[in-house]
Amino acid sequence: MRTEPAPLEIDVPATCECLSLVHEATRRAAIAEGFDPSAADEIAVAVGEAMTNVIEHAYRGEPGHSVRLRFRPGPEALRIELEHRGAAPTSLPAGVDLGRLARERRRGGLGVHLMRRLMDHVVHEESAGVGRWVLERNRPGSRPLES
Amino acid sequence: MPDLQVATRRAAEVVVVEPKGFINAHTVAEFEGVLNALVEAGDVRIVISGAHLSYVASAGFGAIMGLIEEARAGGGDIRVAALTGTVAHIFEVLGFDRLCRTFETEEQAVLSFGGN
Repeated sequence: MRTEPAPLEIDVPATCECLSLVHEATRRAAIAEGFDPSAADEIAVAVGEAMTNVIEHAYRGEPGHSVRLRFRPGPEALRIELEHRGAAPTSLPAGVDLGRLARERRRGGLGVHLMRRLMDHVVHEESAGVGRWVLERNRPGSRPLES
Repeated sequence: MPDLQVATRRAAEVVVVEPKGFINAHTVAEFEGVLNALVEAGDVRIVISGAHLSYVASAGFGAIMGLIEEARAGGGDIRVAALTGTVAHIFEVLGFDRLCRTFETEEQAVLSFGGN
């Protein structure tokens, strides 16, 4: 009987100072799972965006919170979860109009869009006060990422 | 070595901004501060050279997005050159190639301001 490998979990303080640590841990995990360095970089950037979203929106920059980062390698895809106990996003933008954002001198609003462009599956789930970003990237040879 | 260092130099009427390292929500203040100071001082012909960037998160692109119309309103622009690897790919998938003019080399980007 085939069993799924146990997920790798890391608890990280929800601070911007930890973003580079999360990036590097994700990049190494993706390479260990067979992704090439370029794909691993993209996965790491997407996970950094989810982490930034948790820090800035779920916890509103308040200190003293943490994020549980969980890597779940599957046969078809690498699934990465970021679990938090902050506020859930009220809505996820379907797309962005860069021209409008630029005219409005906006500096934010790109993170979710970037996550979606770099990963094959991105959702935010919530249950019993726990929020969870779920990001999946198909393994090489699986369905190609849309460009 | 710091996560991000941002150098600037002048090439004719253009200021070349050269960030080295990575830009994310933690380091973006350094990058954004340099761009803000230039635009506020009226140095609105800006080339960002990406040759020494390992990665750029949305915060870095947001810094450009938030200032590019200010630079254009002042008669200048923010143009980008020498992007490679993941940075170039992310620039493209975000659609920034439609917002911001890009060039293969810093020299081409600087020269492009000759004819605006």
